[in-house]
Amino acid sequence: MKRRLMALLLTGVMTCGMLAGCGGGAAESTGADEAVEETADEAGEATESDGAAEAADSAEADAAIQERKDSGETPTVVIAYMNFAGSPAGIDRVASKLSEITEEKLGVKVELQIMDAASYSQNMNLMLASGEQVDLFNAVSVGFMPCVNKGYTLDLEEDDLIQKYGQGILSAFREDEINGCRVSGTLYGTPVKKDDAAGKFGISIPKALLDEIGFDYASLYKDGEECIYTDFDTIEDILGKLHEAHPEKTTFYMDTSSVVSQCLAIDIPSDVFGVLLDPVNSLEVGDLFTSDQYKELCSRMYDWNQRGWISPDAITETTATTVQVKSGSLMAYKTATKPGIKQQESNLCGEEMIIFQLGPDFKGSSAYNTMPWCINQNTDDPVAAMQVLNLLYSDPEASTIICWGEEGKEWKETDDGHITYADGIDANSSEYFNNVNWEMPNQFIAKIWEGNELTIWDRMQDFNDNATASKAMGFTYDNSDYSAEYTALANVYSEYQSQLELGFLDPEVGIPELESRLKEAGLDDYIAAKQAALDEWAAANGVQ
Amino acid sequence: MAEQKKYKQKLSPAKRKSLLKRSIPIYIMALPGLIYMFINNYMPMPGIILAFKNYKAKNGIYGSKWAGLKNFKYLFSTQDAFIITRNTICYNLVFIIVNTVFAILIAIILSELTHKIKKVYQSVILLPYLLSAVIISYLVFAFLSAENGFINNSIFRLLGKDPISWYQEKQYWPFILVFVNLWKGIGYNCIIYLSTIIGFDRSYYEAAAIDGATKWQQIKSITLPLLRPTIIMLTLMAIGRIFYSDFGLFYQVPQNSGALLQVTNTIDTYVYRGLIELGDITMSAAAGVYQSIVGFILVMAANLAVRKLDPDSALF
Repeated sequence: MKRRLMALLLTGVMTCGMLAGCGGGAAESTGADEAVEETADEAGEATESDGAAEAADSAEADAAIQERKDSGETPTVVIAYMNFAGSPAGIDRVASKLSEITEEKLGVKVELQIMDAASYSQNMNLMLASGEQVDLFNAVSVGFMPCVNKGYTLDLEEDDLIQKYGQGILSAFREDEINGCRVSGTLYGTPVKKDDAAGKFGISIPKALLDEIGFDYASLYKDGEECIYTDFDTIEDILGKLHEAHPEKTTFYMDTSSVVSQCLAIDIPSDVFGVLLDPVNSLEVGDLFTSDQYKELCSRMYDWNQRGWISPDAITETTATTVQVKSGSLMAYKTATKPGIKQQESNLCGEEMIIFQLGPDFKGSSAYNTMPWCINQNTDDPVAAMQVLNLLYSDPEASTIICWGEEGKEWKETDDGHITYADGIDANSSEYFNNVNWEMPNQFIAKIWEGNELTIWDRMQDFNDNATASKAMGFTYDNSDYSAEYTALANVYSEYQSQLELGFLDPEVGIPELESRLKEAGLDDYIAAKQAALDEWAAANGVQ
Repeated sequence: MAEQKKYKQKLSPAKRKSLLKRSIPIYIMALPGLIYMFINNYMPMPGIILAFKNYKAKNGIYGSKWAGLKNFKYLFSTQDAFIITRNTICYNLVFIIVNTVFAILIAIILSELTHKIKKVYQSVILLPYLLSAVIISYLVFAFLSAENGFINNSIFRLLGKDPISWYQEKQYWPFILVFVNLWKGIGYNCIIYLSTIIGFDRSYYEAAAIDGATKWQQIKSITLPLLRPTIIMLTLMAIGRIFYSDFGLFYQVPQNSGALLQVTNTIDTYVYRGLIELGDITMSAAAGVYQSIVGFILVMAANLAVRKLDPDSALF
């Protein structure tokens, strides 16, 4: 506890220092671009949903805004989310830009708290538990269920909060999507407009390297598709040639924390201890570690490792894959795919990437509640928080700012309606280039970055609708009664996880060993409890 | 104890008053430390009840429901409980012994050195103590990395040995961890011994030298016996922390490598691994309470033992 508090304190002090450091720049930049911004907004697409939201805004919402403006006080709503690089340099400036809109439309100011993925969960837990001001937060990485269990999240339907002040949110989703964020009937969060399905086992390789080994990827593209759907033979052929051409570089690496979730088309409710191995047809909770899918994956990685494609240091690697590619030490990595993935990965790697996909498109039970937006139960002004959230879901201008930053500083509009880096700015020098738009409330109404089609969100909707979905769609497992077992299981698994999944341990030896250790730690009980919870959920929701 | 009491009774009120007066500046010097300790160690103590609660942020700490001992269950319910307890206690025991021996050794060597060079050595030895565990973990990694590490790449290649995947072979780690811990902590540990040694009355040594005692005899018969109370005090304090492990050392330095868990998993890392996803503060509080209670018992027991053997050196 002490160490954590100390860490929080230090983080706080350091963040303050950073804020102070970039405060000067923020002040100058406002104002000048306003006129441009407004015309840009009008020209922007997606005004449709904006209009709908505004029409739907209730009398209560207007009254609340009026009252706030009359009072002469502007409350500040603190919005917290994570990215991969830590608090960006332009955070203050972007927040004040966003505040211009919220002040005008809602009479509220906003403050942004952006933390890197590694510390987000820990910091959020501390902030939520200690009563520090944070009004809106994304539950990604902290976990939606843990947040609900600990009572951090506000009931969004208390006094009809969302009905009165969040019509823009409600109109952006189907009812079943909203219901995905209900726990025992209570609505604790709002889903995010994003890829709800995931293309399993995508592999991303720089175009330049493929050209170098003379691989003809162009002919493999089917009409209008951005991923190349292929098989393991092709990939192994490519990786072999890459390894031959550049033995000094690492051929392939996977971020260990997401191997199972991004490679296998299984449904993982809350954790890997008890999964739906055949989620499309059956509600049976099975043991991942004795499954053929897991064994096949580990065997393949073992083979790849034997061929020297995986770095001997892979187990201790903590640098993000895309950063490794950017620095030139890595040639291929795994990712989950979705419409827009090519551009996203190319942005992150700083060069054009070619995406291959080996698995199916699949939508798991947690699609709607892996990263919902929640309101802190401790917030001073739930109405203001809800209205800001509503604005982020329904106002294209606000959504563009929180997704991409400020016009003229981070991005500029191109002739064909896309946006791209502002003059003299690139991925490295940009002061707000988070690339975590899947976590933002509504990226569908924000401007579209160059390289993606303007119809990307229609394609995303198709992708979401057409992917095979788990039967357990919307189920969340609450393991709070089994936290002792979970702790033990998590410890055993972490002993074997990276060794098996990066192919350092022969699966013939490793998997049986892991399995027997997990059994000792209570895997069977845990799976049985999960099954019971799922059955109960299925009965309550009429799922067969 | 008896002697002390007699000594106190002998003091006249006037003398006692002047003693108090003289001590005031010392108390003032101690004040910031005491305030810090009060804020940091005593004020959060009511939080202990969190360990027995089913915490809900909405209801607050005091309003949440009682949970009995449920939060403690996970510490004892598994097969790993033995391993983490063994690792925590055994490593700390070895640390106490090795660190004490080397700290005294270095302190004595430093005390024998001439003035100027001593300052340089002292600073150099102290430096690692001031580094964060993350930086140390990368220094270690620079030596042990399988692909680019100094040991595999330079030393072993020179000797014609096969490279070792250090982060996957657990048998080396007990030694690596003891060494790293020694290297990191020795500068700090030896400062206390060094300052005690410097404070010794030089006339003992002069008299011994006149009587023809060698350096070794001086160390054995003067320095070490005089150091005894300090050694006992520091060891007692270390025993109090025997149930805590240096999180950075056991989590960062092995780079959180799963293959090494059997020899690197301690109570703190176990709790961290389990709770990083659960984020359950009541369970972390339970672990803290458990560690504090065991630590408290160990200090009392060790002090009792010392009091039996050598009453003057006991803490209380």
